[in-house]
Order: sequence, then C-alpha cells, then structure tokens
Amino acid sequence: MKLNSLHIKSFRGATKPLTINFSQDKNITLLYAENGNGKSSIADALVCLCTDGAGSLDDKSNKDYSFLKSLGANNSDLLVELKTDTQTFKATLSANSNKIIKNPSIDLPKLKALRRAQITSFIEDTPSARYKVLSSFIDVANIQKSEAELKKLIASLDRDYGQNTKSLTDAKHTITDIWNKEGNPLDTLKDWVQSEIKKDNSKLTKELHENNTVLQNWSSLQTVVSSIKTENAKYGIAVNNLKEAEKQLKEYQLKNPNAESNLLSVLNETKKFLTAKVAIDKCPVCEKDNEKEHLLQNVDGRIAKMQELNKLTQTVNSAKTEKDRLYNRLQGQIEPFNTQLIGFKNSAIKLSAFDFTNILSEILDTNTTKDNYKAFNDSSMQLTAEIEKLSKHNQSVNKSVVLHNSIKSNYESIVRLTKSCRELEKLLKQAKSSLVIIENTRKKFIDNELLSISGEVERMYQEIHPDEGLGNVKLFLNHTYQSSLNLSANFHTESDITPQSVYSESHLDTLGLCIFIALAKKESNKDVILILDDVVMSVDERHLDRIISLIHTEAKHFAHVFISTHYRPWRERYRNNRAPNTNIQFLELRSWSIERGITIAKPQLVLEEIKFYLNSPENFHRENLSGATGRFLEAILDFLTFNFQSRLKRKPGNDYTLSELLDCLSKDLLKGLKVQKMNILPDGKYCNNYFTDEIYLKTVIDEIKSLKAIRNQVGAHFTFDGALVSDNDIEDFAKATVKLAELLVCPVNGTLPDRNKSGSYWETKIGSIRLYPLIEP
Amino acid sequence: MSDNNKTVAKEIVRQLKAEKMVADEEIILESKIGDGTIRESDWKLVFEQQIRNAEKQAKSETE
Repeated sequence: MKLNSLHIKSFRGATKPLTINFSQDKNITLLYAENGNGKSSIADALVCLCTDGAGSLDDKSNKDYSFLKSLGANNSDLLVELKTDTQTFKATLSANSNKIIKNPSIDLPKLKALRRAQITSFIEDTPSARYKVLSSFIDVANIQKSEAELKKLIASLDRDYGQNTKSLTDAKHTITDIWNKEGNPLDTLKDWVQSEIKKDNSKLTKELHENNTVLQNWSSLQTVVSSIKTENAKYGIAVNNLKEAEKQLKEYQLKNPNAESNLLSVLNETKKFLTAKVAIDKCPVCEKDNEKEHLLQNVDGRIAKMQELNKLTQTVNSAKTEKDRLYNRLQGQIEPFNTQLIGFKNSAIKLSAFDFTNILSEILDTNTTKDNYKAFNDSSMQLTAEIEKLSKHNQSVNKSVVLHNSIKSNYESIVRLTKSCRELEKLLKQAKSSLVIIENTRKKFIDNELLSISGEVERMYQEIHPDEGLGNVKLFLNHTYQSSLNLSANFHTESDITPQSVYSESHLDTLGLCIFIALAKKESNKDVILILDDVVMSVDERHLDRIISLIHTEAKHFAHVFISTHYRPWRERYRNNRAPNTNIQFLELRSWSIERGITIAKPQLVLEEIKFYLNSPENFHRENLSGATGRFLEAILDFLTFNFQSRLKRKPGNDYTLSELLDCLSKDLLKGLKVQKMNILPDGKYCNNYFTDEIYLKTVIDEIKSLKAIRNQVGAHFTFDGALVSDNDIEDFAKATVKLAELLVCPVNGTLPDRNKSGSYWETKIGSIRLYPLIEP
Repeated sequence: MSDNNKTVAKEIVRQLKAEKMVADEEIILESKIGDGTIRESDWKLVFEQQIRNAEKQAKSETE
C-alpha cells in the first residue's frame, strides 16, 4: 500500500483545508514544525481515520470528540480523507459529536501511532498496563477460554470423584457393619458377601408378600369389624330407647284410659284440615252450623288436654325412626364385612404354616353374612392369637429380606462406584495432564513471542546505544499474576535490573521507542503506517544520528513512516546532508494562525540552496550564498573532524568556527584523504571491489581554505572588506564547497560516509562512496 | 490477534495427540480450541473417546 494524499478539513488546527501529497518513491515523511503549528493535528487525523483512537486527545482525561473539529467549524465540516494507491478512506464527525464515522468502516489501513506520552506510560506504568499494550501481540484469549472450560471439567470430575469415593467408602462400611453384626460368618467378608448375594431370596420375598397380604387383610377386616361394633352399639342404644319410650306410653295409657292415642291422631289431623280452610260455616263431621274459629278453638282445647299423650307418642315415633335408621346403617356395614372376611380367609389359608384353615373352616362363601359374622366372632380369639404368631414370624422374615436386600444393594453400589471411580480417575488423569500441556504451550508461546520482541528491541537499542553498557532488554510475563508484563535490562555491571529505576530519561525514551517500533514491525507486513509523533525530545547529535539511521533501516518494513518533530537539530541533519535526505519527503509547517490554518512549506536542503544561487544568475545573492556555503561547510567539516578525531581546542558547546575546523585537518590526513566512487551494478547495488573514480580531497580543501574568509566577510558581517570581494570569488567558494559535498555525499541517500564496516575505510550506508583513511595517520 | 490462538491451538492439539491425550482422528478439536468454543462437556467427550480407544487397543493387543 502506498499513500497518495491526505486531505484534512476543519480538523483541529486545519481551520483551512490542507492537502499533503505524498511522494510515491519515498515512504518516510518528516514533518518539522515548532510547537503549536499543527504537527499533531496531521498525525491525529490519520489516527482518527485508521484506528479507534483519537490521537493526542486520548491522553486527555476528558475525551470529547467535539474538540476534534476546528474552532468555529460545524460537525458536518470535519473531513479527513486519505487516498492510497488502492482506495480512498474518509472520516467525518457524527452530528452529536460522539463518534467518528468512517467510510469504508472496515479494512481500514493498519496504523500504529506513538506519542511521547505513550512512551513514558509504557515504560513507567504498572505491569498490567504494560501487558495491555502488548496484548494484541501475545493475546491468546481463546486458548485461555478453552483452558477455563477444561479447568471446569477437572473441578467437576474432582467433585464427582470425591462424592463417589465417599459413597464407596460408606457402602463398604455398611456391608462390613452388617457382616460384623451377623457375627463375621464365613472366613472373609468377601466370601460372605459373595455367598449372600448368590442366595435366592425370591421365596422369602414371596412369603413376606403373602404374610403382608394376610396382615393387611386382617387389618382391613378389623377396621370393618370395629365399625360394625360401633354401629351395633348405637343400634342397641336406639332399640333400648324405643323400648323405654313405648314403656312410658303404656304406663301413661294405663293411668289415663280415656287417652286414646287414635283420637289424638284424629284431632291433630282435624286441626290441620281446619287450619288449611279459609272459611267454614258448618262442622265437617256433624254438619251443624259452626264457624272455623269456634271449631279450631274446640279442637285446640281437646288436644291441650291430651298434651302428655301427644309428647309420649312423638317420643315413641322418633325412637322408632332412629332405630330403623341405625338398623339400615348396620346392615350396610355388615354386607362388606363378609367380602373382607372371605378375602382374609382366602389369603390366610395359603399360609400352611399357620392354623388359619382350621380356624376359618366355618366361614364359607355360601354362608349368610350373619352366620359368617357369628362364626368369625366365635373364632375371634383364636384368630387374634394366630395373627400375632404370624406377625411375629413376619418380622423375622422381613428382617431377613431387608438384610439380604441391603447386602445386595450395597454390593452393587460397591461394584458400580468402584467402576465409576476408576473411570473418573482415568478421566482426571487425562484432563490434568492435558491441562499441563495446554498451559505450558500457551506460556511457551507468549514467552517466545516476548523473546522475539525482546530480541528485536535489544538489536535496535544496541544500534542507538552501542557499547554503552546498556541493553539485554527483556520483556517477560510474570506467570504468578495474570496479565502482568515485566521489563528488565542490564546497567553496566548490574544485570536484570528494572530499567525504570536506573536509566536516564532519554535512555528510557529510546527504549520505549525501540519497543514500540519492534511491536509495530511485528504486526506489519509492509502494510502498517507508522506514526512517530514528536517522540524525541532532546538527544545529542550522535544518538540522533543513530535514531534517524534506525528509522531509515526499519522503514522498509512499513507501508509508510510518518515522523513529526519540533526538534530542530533533526531538521538540520537532513538539511545539511547529515542524514539520508534523499530518502524522505521533507515537509515543514509554518506559523499557525486561525485565519491561515496549517501551512506547509517545503524546506530547502542547504546544498540545493547553494546550487540554486549558482545556477540561476537572476537569483544570485552574495550574502545568502556566502552564509549558506559557510554553514554547509561547517556541517561537512564537523563530520570529517569528528570521524578523524581531529585535534581541536576544547570549547564549551563545540561551537567551532570554519577556520578552526579547516585548520585542524592535519597535513598527514590531507595527504591521504581521498574518496572512491564505487562502481554501480546492474541491480542498483554498489560493487565491493571496483570503483569508477578515486579523488584526493586536498586540492578542493585547499581551494576552500584560500576562500574561507568570504564566509565571515560576506556571509556574516557588514564590513568594507566584504564589499570588496568579487561575485566570482563568492561563486568559486560555493562551487568548491559543492564539489567537496558531491565527492562525499551519497548520490542515492544523500548521506555522508559515516560507517565503519570494513575496518579500513569509511563508507556510505549503501556503499556508494568510500572515504580513506579510517583514522588520521 | 486471532492467528495467535490458531497457532497455539495447533501446537496444543499436536502435543495432546503425541501424548495420547486425545485420539489421532480428532479433527475439530483444534478449531474449537482456537476459536474458544470448546466446552467442558466437549473436553469430557474427547477424553472419554481416547480412553475407549486405548482400552480397545489394549484388548486387541491382549487377544
């Protein structure tokens, strides 16, 4: 994937639409700007478009997407549009500012952005927070889920195994107890149990069943008999009550011979008859004239005289009714009795060991109920005695049956549980061993992943800090705690220390940078956009050179590397060919204002600036050309004098003048100082053995020395002598400098021969130019 | 990353088979472990199957 352009509108500092067109042949973009000119706005726009984050807004405690839009802009104005060689991606702000809407919303470019705040937090945060950062690389959540399910199975099997083992022990104890209670028959418990379970218990069980049937039938019969007795008693009382009532009526009638009960009946009926009539004018018996009231009065008077007789008659009638009712009830009870009795007899006579057949011989189906009842009552005593005998015997039979069943069921339990325990044991062993394999595999995977990241980090860190007694950086998981990532490193004589405790801030910064690049690289298949947003605060020039070199080396693993910095030395390294400036797209942001928004300028490389003045007479500018040439020369000479460790008077800040830098190149060095331009091969690489040109630098350096005063006279000060310098001399000074630069600068990368790989000479990164000697003779 | 789970699942199943913890013919175990959908009961079935297989094999070897 290649980036074509990024268009930003109404996004943070981009109050005016801004478009960056990316160079198609360069996958590094360096964006230099002083603080507040919109660097992070551009980086954040990419972050918002390609990830779920909101860039530097993520570092704020209150993340409010409405802050993403520019001052005075509407939500609908915001637009971030990234065009790649394959697709266009757009991001807008939702109407309620609560989310960024992306189109398309899937398969967005992969992007990893690092801000300085993240470096600090990664290094200094808790192990669990650090784990979170790395979790996407080492996360095996599904494996952990599978592990958790296996652990659940193990817990469940353990529980079942425990329960079964306990039940097995209980069953064994029970059977042993029975054996002990039985007096330890046979030689061993096992022999006894085997002999017991072989016994045929069906006869005993059948007997128990028959006995129980007889006893149950007897019990049911007793219930009926008891009920009959109760009803019979009630009936007896009713009979007596009737007799007593009749007796009292008789006695009354003897004392009152005229009291005819039949007459009373007639009078009562008459009263009923008269009452029912509306009006009567004659007696219904004698037909003499009479009125209803008079007749009723007469009848009532006669009934009153017979009141006692009336009462006694009613008592007799009631007693008779009650006796008849109870008689019917008794008859109702007696009938089922016979059925129960015959049922009892039929079950009891089966028990040949008892005397029921003989005792119940008088009881026959063909008998009347009364006869059977009589026969039953006659034999009741014998029957009760025999039932008691049966009951007692049955207890013994029951005990035998229960005992046999208990032995059998416990034995069966032992067999079943032993089998089950054995199976559970096997399963548990299998599950536990598998869990060990799974846990170890998971841990090994994570450890290996961390080791590979650690290896990369270590390699990069050593590139930035060679021979400094630092490094051996290790990221490792603390298996004691869940999701806990630790960091260790060496510090001179101490190994495996926590770097946070002893490393300087800038060393921790570069460590964080290396870790981040290593992680991003691991995820990238040349398809990740890497953003390094102002990650370097203040490092010295050597470390800066190494950081730049590292980024250029690693850039090939990414789709694009986007660097933003406010660190001016970084800018100057590129401008003065102290960094591979031909490999990057170099952009600079000018001062931001709300009216102008973010303004992009293309910074000119100093060498190009010099050539520009030389090649376009209409733009010739004496002072600018002299000044630029002088500064550029200082950059080149700074490189040469550093490489050859030339002797210079020590000064605070290393602010050496052009003269001092030129004059410290010794005669011996100048005598042998030469470059070889290596032969380029058809594949674009440089040949190791053959060079196309070999040039000694003394001539050009001498020429520069002869013109060096121009730098101050024209390029730095307002002097009379400066005004006397001819334009030709200035041009010669510049041309000699350009000549020196073109001899030293790699035509491909724009870098100087600053690498010592051979041990015999200096060379550029890709081997295009060799610089001799390696050290000052 | 999902690839991590797949990679580790593959290695786990390879080792489980090598150690005779699961049957060689087990084919869906790897994907179930990898996508985290294996359940307690699935694990049980897998082990039971392997125990049965081992018993069968031991029996046939004895015969």
